[in-house]
Amino acid sequence: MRGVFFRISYPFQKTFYLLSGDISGTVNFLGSISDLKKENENLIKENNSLSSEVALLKDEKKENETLREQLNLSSRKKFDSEASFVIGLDPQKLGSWMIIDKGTSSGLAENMPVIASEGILIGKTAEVYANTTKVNLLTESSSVINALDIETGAKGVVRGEYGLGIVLDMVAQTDVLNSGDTIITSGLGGDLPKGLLIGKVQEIRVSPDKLFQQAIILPQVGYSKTDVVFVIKNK
Amino acid sequence: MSKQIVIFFIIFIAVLLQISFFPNIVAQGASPNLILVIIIFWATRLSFDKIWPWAALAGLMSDLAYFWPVGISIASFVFIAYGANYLARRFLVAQNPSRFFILAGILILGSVFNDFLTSMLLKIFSHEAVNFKILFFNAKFGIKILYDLLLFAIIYIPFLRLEKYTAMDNSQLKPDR
Repeated sequence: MRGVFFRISYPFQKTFYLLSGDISGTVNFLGSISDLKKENENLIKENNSLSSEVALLKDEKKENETLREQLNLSSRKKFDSEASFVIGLDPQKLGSWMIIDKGTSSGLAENMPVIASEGILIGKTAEVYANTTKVNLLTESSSVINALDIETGAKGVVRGEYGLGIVLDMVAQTDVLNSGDTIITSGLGGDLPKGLLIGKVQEIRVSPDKLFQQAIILPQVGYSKTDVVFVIKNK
Repeated sequence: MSKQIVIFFIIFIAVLLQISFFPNIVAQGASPNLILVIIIFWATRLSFDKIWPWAALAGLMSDLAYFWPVGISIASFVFIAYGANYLARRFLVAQNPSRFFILAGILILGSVFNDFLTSMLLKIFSHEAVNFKILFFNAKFGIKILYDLLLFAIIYIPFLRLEKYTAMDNSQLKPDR
């Protein structure tokens, strides 16, 4: 029944989502008109400094690739991924799922990892229909993912907090967690590949039962502002 | 028959706007509930006998679109339609100068009750973790209610005209006053 509903609504959803994106963009543009002169001056200054930074960045790109290999961070290019547009978002509560415009007809199945840009994990596919798929975001309260801290090697599970944010939980008291550490998927359990970036540690606290450490994770992308995502078909 | 098709289409489009339009233009968690606003509008103007099948249909479509077990929104919308209809019969007297504020009050009550009831039912039937403190005591919930009121004001006149077109008159509501 739900499949039929989404099959019928698919073209409408896509149109409405694109339309809302345009409206949102226009409103933001109109709101920024008064700042255009100041922004232009800033851009000229920024352009000058960027020219010099380009040269530096070329070197850093090489360094980034080397570090990625050393830290086991996965790049999107490593996977067989399917690019999809977001066509719907959870309107209730604080956002725990999104709808994308690809489904079984594009080879998608349940529990496939979904990433944004260069290997940043945002969730997993949950319900797959012919042309649409529900993606449960990491912020979803039932989402649990094995993760580790790159810098210290501390292991734990990342879980969603009522659609509000994500928390690294079940980290042993003997493990070390530092603010600003990078959290990636550990690959334990085999449901997700190792090395997908989840976010950075923002705040560390002790669990209510005082047995474990917890860390609030700051995601690397705003989930609700993501327009294009990639579904990893081969883990 | 064509009137029924028009109403069906309005509900269908409202559900789709709900998941594919509003969440992209307003802040996360502050998305207005257009379907609920429409149901409350009709519930305050028509008899419950006329409105409940449409409330149930809107609930069914919402459940399908939100990936919820079928029945959650149906129960909530039918219950709210009944409540809004009862309050309208009790307090909405024609030419009452405070009519707008009473309508706004019914809408606010309906919005709060809908979030509460759907969260409770989700907790019971799909074991979803719900934190009522986080759900209701955040600034975005207040903004969401403001958006609901704004939508109500926007749809008010067009829906009055639609009422005439579809002959959804309130004759069944008047005798009980």
